[in-house]
Parts: sequence; C-alpha cells; structure tokens
Amino acid sequence: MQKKWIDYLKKREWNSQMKKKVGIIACSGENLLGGTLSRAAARIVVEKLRPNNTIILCQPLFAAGGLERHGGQDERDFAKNHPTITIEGCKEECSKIAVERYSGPVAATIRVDEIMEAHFELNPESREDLGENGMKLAEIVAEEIAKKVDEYFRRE
Amino acid sequence: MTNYKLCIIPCNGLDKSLGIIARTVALKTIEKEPKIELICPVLLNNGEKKYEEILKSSKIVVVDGCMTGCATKLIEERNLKIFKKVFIPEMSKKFKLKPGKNLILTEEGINLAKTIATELIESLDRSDDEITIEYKEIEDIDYFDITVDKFYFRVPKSGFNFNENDCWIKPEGDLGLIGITDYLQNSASDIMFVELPEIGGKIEQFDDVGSFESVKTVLQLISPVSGEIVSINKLLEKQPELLNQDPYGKGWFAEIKLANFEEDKELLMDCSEYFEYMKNKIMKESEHLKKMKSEKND
Repeated sequence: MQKKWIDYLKKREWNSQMKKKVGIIACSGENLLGGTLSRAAARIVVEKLRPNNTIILCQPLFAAGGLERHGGQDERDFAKNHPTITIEGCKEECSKIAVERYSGPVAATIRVDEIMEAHFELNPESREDLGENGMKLAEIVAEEIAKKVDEYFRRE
Repeated sequence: MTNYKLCIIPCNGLDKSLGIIARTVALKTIEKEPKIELICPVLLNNGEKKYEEILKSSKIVVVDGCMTGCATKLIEERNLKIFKKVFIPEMSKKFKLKPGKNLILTEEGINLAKTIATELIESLDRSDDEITIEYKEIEDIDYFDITVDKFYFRVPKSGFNFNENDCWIKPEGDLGLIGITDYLQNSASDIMFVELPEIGGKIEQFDDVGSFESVKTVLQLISPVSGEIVSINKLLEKQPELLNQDPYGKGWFAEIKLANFEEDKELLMDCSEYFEYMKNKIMKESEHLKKMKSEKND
C-alpha cells in the first residue's frame, strides 16, 4: 500500500477517536455568591455528571489570552471549535461576553441567579463556603447544565 | 496598615486547585483588611469601568496560581505596575503546606490560603519593592501540531532529532542544543525549578543531564546524544517557565559538543517519526484516563 494512503488512513482513524466534547465555562465572579455557585456547579458537571462529554475551561486564562504557550489561546481555540456552555453568576454575563468576543457564539447559557431565585429556600452560607444548602443548589445548577449537554448531543 | 490605597487581583483559575487557593487568599485578605479593594479578573476583562479608577489610584497586588500568570497578564496589558506579586507554588514551598490536587480545597489547602493572606498583610506594611517582569520574543519554528481536548502539542517539522524519553537534540555542525519536548513539558505541567548540568561534564547517550521540578513531579532530561557540555541556559534558573512556554526555543537546556552524532542518530527519531510516536502515546493516555473515569463513576 502506498505511504500516502497509509498516512491518510492513520489520520482518519486518529480524527474519529477524538470525540467532540462540550466546554463548560463558569463566571468565576469574585465578589458574589453566584460566582462561587457557578464554579462549584461547573466542577460537579465535569467531574461527576458528564465527565466523558465535558471539559472545564478556565475563564481567567481565557480572558488573559496570549499566543505564547500555556496562554489562553488554547482555551479560546477550543471554544471556537467546540460547543461551549456558559454559567453566569449574574446579569453581567461575563462568560458569554468573553466567549462571544474571543471564540464565537455559545451553545447555551445558564443563569445561576435565576435558579437561586427559584430555589430561595436553599440559602448558601457565604461566597467562601456554600454550606450544605449551597451545595444542594450547586447540584441543581449542575443538573441544568447536564441537561443542556445532553440536548446538544441529542441534536448532533 | 499602609497609608496608601491597595487593591488585590487573584487569578481565580478554575481548572487547578492553585487558582482556587489564589481566590481564597484574596478573599481572606479583604476579610482581614476590608479597605483593600478586590478586583475580579473576569469582570475587569469585560471592561468594568469602576475598576479603572481603583487601578489608577491604588498599588496593585496580584495573586497568581500558576506560571501562566493570568492576573499578572491582565495588569500588564493595561500598562499598569505591579506593586507586589504572590505566587502560590512558591508560598506552598515556603510554608511547607501542600495545595492539594482536587478542586475542593483540603484543610491543608485552606490553611495555606489563610497563612499566605496573613503573611501578605504583614509584608504590605514593610514592602516597597516593585516588580518588573520581562517577556521575551519567541522564535518562529514550523510545527506539526495536534490538539487533544484543550491540550495542544507541537513537534518541529525539521532540524531536530528525538529519543523515546521525549528529549530533543538540534544539531548544528559539531555542536547541538538539547531540551525537552512539548509533550514532556505538558505532562510535567508548570515547571518551577531547574537543575542544570555542569559545563565541561562528559555525558554518554541516554545519561541524565539535569532535572526539572514541576507542581506535579520531578523529571530528568535524558540526553539524546553523547558529548561534552559546553554551555547551559542559565536563564532557566530565573525563568523555568520558559521550558513550558517555548520548549524548542528559549527553553533549551544545554549545548553539547557532539562526540559521535552519526552513531547516536541511529537510536533517535526524526521529526515526523517522533510526531507519530507522540500521537500514539497521547492516544493511549487519553484512553486510559477515560477508562479510569468510567471505573470511578461506576
């Protein structure tokens, strides 16, 4: 078999094994509870609920960018070539703004503040320590994210 | 406390525990010193106007979780000066407290954040050091590349040879530069310390030439060739991150006077061979990780 043909087959095999994943990017809000909740929820999805279909994107790295190695360019390229779900702590929607600015349209957006309003009985302790109720709320947010991930794969 | 205004900007990274510690350090600091203004790096990047005045009128403290230095970059790209820089891995070594690897902080991780915040507040009273950080240009090399998830791996298209230990030699006449590959630096993660060989030392092919320590592990550079060390990259002692940022260029490790390159070359791979070798390795690791994750979830 010709070398060129073998190379082509190898490349095709390689590409087929690289299953598409959904990027999860959380607001990282420094000064608000929604930021802590969005970070926790993103972690739950990527580590527990959908570990094989999702990957966490670091928003500060994404924002800092830079073309040098280990800069945010890798994160931006990933969001350009993969569906990305943003988790927003408040109406500022920093994650969505950043993804749209550097990579392209987002696949879905989850507003944590709206979920908090709908579950007002679950009152987190503080932005540093969510406590038991806060973690329950983070699980609810995480379930919403997981639903969006599943919706994406159903559509594909 | 100081008689000037201060603000603090942590990196807030979410994909490593070090970023979580950086965030906790900032929160603990403002808890103890509420007059210090907290800057959210993400909101700052989105053009939050209220931060403009704070940044202009305050001395800036940055807290970086890793070598990428996102908080530092966000300040420097605005042409602002950094008053004090806190680097979590360095503090972790200093206080002998491990940051942990999980994204949920351990008790030791929380203790580390508290200790750093306390030391930071104390040092602000006595510190008047301003830090200037130097950035270098990056040499252009034509690369083969491959992206796996969000990780990006490169191998030069020509001019290099490689051993199976993921180290390279770039021969030029009877001399050659040696270093580590992009794959190895990616596996090591953020490199913090480098141990260079001595000039004049004679080495055989596959000898250890030096080592480097990252947040994860200590690794050796296994020489792809035999010869004598004629120079070393002293800059790596000050800027070990060059090994991560530019492993085939400014991250070169040592220069060797080649003893018998033609013979050594028989046990080395050329660029396209190494690229295939590296891809297979990445695939196997990716499959292994996937399997481990599934087993963990079952």
